[in-house]
Amino acid sequence: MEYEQLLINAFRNVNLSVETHPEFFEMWEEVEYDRSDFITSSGKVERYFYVVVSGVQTIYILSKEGDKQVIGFSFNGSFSGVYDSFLMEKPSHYFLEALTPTKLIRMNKQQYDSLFEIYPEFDRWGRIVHQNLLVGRVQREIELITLSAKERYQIFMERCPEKLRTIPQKYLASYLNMTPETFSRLRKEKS
Amino acid sequence: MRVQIKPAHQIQRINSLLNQLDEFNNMDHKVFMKRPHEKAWSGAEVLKHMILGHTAYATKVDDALAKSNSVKDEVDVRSTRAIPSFLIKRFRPKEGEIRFKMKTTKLFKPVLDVDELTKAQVDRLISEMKKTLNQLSDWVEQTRKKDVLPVRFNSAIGAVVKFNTSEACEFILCHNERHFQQVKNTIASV
Repeated sequence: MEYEQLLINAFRNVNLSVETHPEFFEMWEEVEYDRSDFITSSGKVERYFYVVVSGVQTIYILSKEGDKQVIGFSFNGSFSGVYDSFLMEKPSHYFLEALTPTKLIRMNKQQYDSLFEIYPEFDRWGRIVHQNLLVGRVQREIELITLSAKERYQIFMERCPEKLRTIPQKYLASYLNMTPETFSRLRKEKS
Repeated sequence: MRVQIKPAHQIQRINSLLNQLDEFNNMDHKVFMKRPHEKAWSGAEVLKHMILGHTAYATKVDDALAKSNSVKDEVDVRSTRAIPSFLIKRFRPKEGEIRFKMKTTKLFKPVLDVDELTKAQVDRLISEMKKTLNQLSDWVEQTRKKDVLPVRFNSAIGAVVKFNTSEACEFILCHNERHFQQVKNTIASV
């Protein structure tokens, strides 16, 4: 299987191998997107759960005026998709867009659900993933409410993966809830 | 202030219309046959009118997109010119309310015998409407990656208003939003 190691790393909470989990490795389908393609658009139901092979993607919501407000990013080795729409099978509130040429592997909802039926150990994976998601969202909310723009910038740059440093600044600025001008000024100050 | 066109926002609005169309599809076809009063259109006639309105632009938009060059960075926002902006603003409903009543030219009047409409015919109208919305979505996606401003063409009302592809897509979308509201109002009243 081409992406065996990628999947083993992504699902590191499950002790995966082709021998013990053959159906799991057969579920994945590869898809590619050009830079700035919409992978999922707001108003459509997210049909897939993704693991990123390469590229950077952003997830954002639009304001009433149609301006982008970035919620997060995904990049190689991470999970991607509009998860709430995928789970609830309801139209997405968000856009998922490829910021760079992107290669993903994906499974559909039926396959995702079957994981928990075929392999009981995926319950633990699900618990850990949802726990991390919740803690991550709460942490981000706390940072947005309590930290200054400068502090948010510093914390983000300390833990920012190298991959994200190459994407347009306006997306990073939006993620940090600041204007591109403020982001640019803070970057100059830092350097 | 001139209308700002934001392609991602347009896609979101088109998807919203597609979802409303799915709701229409689940309704009894008879609700699309009834006119609220003698001079008003039925839901089916409104759908037909939107399809005619879209079709009037299909060749023009396809040609304009074929002539437009690709851009390096995708376009997030474009401003409209004064006259298209004026027209677009008048069409889009505001907070669910249709403003500025307009007369339809003969070319875009739907010719349907509403009393004789079958379920299959209503289904076909909904299916055609879906195709036009998907085509509009495809056009908008292309406008993100092309320099559409230099290529202009006459609007459906003639040379008095010229559109570039972004303006045409926004106009068609606002026209659809206006008439989807009309369909909802019509269904609610019959």
